[in-house]
Amino acid sequence: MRKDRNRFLKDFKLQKDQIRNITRVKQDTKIVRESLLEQFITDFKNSSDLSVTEFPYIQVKIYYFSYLINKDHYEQFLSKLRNITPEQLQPYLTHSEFKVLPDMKVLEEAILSGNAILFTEKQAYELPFQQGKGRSISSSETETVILGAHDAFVESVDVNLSLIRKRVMSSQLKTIKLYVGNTSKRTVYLLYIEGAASDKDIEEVKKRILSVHNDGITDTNMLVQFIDEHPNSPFPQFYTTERPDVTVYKLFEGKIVGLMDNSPNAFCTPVSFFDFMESMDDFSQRWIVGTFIKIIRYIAILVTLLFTALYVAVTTYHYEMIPQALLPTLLESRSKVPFPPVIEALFLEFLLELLREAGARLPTKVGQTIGIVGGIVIGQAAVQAGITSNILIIVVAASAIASFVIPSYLLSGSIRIVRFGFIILTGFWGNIGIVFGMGILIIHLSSLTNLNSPYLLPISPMYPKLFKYSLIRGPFKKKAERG
Amino acid sequence: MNKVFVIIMIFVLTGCAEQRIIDDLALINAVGYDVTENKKNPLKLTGTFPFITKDGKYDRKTIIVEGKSSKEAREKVRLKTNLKLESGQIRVTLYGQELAKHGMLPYLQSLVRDPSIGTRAKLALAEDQASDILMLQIKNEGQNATYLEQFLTKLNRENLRTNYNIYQFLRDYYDDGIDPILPVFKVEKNNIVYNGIGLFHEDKLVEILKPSEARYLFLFREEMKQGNFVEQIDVGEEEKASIMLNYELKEHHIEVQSTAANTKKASINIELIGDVLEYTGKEDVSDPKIQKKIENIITKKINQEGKELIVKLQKLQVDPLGINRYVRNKMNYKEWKALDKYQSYQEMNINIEANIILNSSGKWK
Repeated sequence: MRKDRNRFLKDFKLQKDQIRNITRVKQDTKIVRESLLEQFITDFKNSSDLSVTEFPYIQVKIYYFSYLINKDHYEQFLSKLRNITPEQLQPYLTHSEFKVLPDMKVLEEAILSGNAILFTEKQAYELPFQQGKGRSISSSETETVILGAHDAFVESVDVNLSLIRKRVMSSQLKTIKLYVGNTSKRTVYLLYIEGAASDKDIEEVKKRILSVHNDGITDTNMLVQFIDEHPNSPFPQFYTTERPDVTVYKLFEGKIVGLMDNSPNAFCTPVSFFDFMESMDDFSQRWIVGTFIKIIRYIAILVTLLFTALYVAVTTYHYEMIPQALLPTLLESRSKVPFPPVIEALFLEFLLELLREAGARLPTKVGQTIGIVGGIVIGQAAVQAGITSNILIIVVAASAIASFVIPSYLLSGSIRIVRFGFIILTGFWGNIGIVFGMGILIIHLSSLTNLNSPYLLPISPMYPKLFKYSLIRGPFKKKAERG
Repeated sequence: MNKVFVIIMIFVLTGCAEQRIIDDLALINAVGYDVTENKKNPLKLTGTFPFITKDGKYDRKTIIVEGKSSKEAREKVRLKTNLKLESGQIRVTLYGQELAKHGMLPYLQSLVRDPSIGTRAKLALAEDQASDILMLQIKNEGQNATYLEQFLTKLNRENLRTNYNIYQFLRDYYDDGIDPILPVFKVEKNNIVYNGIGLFHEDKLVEILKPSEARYLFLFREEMKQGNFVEQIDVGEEEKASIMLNYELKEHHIEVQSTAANTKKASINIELIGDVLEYTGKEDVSDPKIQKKIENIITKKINQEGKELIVKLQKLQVDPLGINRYVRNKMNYKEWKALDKYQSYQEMNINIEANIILNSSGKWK
């Protein structure tokens, strides 16, 4: 009880501080009236898309980007303005919806984010006509679940924030607003739950985001590559997601979430490799089912990494490993193929990657055609022409299917790359190549960090108690103990 | 930069391992060893391996060569094929009777020495010539090696514990207290058939037991778990009726009732629980009295015929039952070393104490 009260008092204090800050800002505002308009006009000199409406009678100029503002609201506002006398103007503008703009920096941000700017003789006001243009909330395309919430983030950061706020009904959810970039300032919100997230981490993320001076960042997935620790690793280090429910789950786990304006992806940090192996569906199902599916996923990772490599190793170096019953089929299907197994496997894997990439880039209807053509060409013609063997097609198809089982698109892409490394290694060394590659992979993964927390967290360093929260999906009863 | 250099060096300096792409290999899956009349090249080696014909069919090729030793003969096989010879897929090795009588060890050692051959390769004897069995073209039966391997696995599953691989053979050979056995195959009417058990004295074949005799051998060996017993017995006044029991081995232990100084007596206790699956006689098998009678008759039969077999084994100086292991357990190392074990085995009085219990008369009364 006492602890709760203390926390409440602390909150209360914090809120008070905020209020004090706001009032101080108001007092400090020094308006440089004439120069503000002048500066504005010089800054936006060559913007032919900038519209202006003038009311000489009341000495008011309104600047706006006509495609950024909501026209209906604007017309309503204008109709009011037309009936206003110079005396009535000043009191009207003190309405809470109109914000006084103190300096050029704020002003620029306001007009570029879709508000209209009203210049009176003395002051500049922000007219809140920001248009809620953009995609409406729809279900996630990249991270689909069967059970559970279906809404996904959209490009507007306000909507995204509201999606999170609706799920976290608490004043403990804190947000920090940051700007990224030199000239084109992009808004980034850092969200965390006070008490759950570590202050050191928050400061670190803040510092990293502020140190980014690139202007071409268009998406969270790009941003995280600017702020991660190991840019040369093929593995994703920040968990990015389209789903608000995942984001909220991560928030309560004590992670920091970043939202970026005009990007439908949130990033979470610090995360480990096993976060990428998780789907929200695991939690919607009973823990036995969830754990089973999770284990299948780990098997799938091994399959997609090693299956083709194993085929190459066995057919090139370790014929002793082939089971007696498989020998006839393997010999028969290999007998027509003129290439060594490495070339054969690389060729087919490459073809499959082409097919996958073509399918992803093309519109759905053409994409289907590609799928059918690819299926026939690879499945039938390649075998009949004696370019690849039957067994290899099964092996490659199995590893391709297994790669789709990985819930995170980012991780599945990384695994696909690593797989080629394994195939080449086995082409040189056989099974020793697999062992060698696994060694290098494990060394690499365990040397990665995400916000100074180890990438393979519950395994290396070893915390067996955390296994049931990240490695497998333990029952909730146990989870309740942790809070 | 340094890392890249190291990686390049790893690939360049170690060179590439020797590639053995399976479609260029002759994967020998069975070999047969025989002795020949030829003084110069006393060993006949038969190797069979699968290959794919030009029209994509799975077929086999069998090559017979004569040579001085196993590996020398193998070199000669190499000259007779366009494929690279590899012995890592050997499943079955067959030995001709003549050769087994001279001792198997040199040939086994040449197999064990080759690291590509696993110790799980199965061993078997050919009643006449191993090459006959491997050369035999059974209709619609592709690889003789696969056929033999399946045959051996089947025998093993049917509780004739004849699944003898290199490891098991050598284990029994090097164990002082037991002698190895191997299953025997022969060619009969264009088919390969199982024809008994070869008994070994150390590594030399001594005698081949016919299947009918051999079944008692398995009954007295420990590995037996369950099996069938088909016999002509005489229960009532009428002529002999045939009975078939499906039994389980409930208990098996060998007792050596002797001290170190005097190892003259041993007994093999077995207890079988059986169900009657077939009975052609007129008696009511479900009647407890008749059951008792049947139990007695079968017990007597097993005791009697088992004894005959054991006496035969003792005379041949082969110990496939591992009686000597129990003798060894009774004494210390010095005494064991001083003991002439085959002599004492021969003089031992080994009794069979069988106990049959009829559990049910099957589904029918």
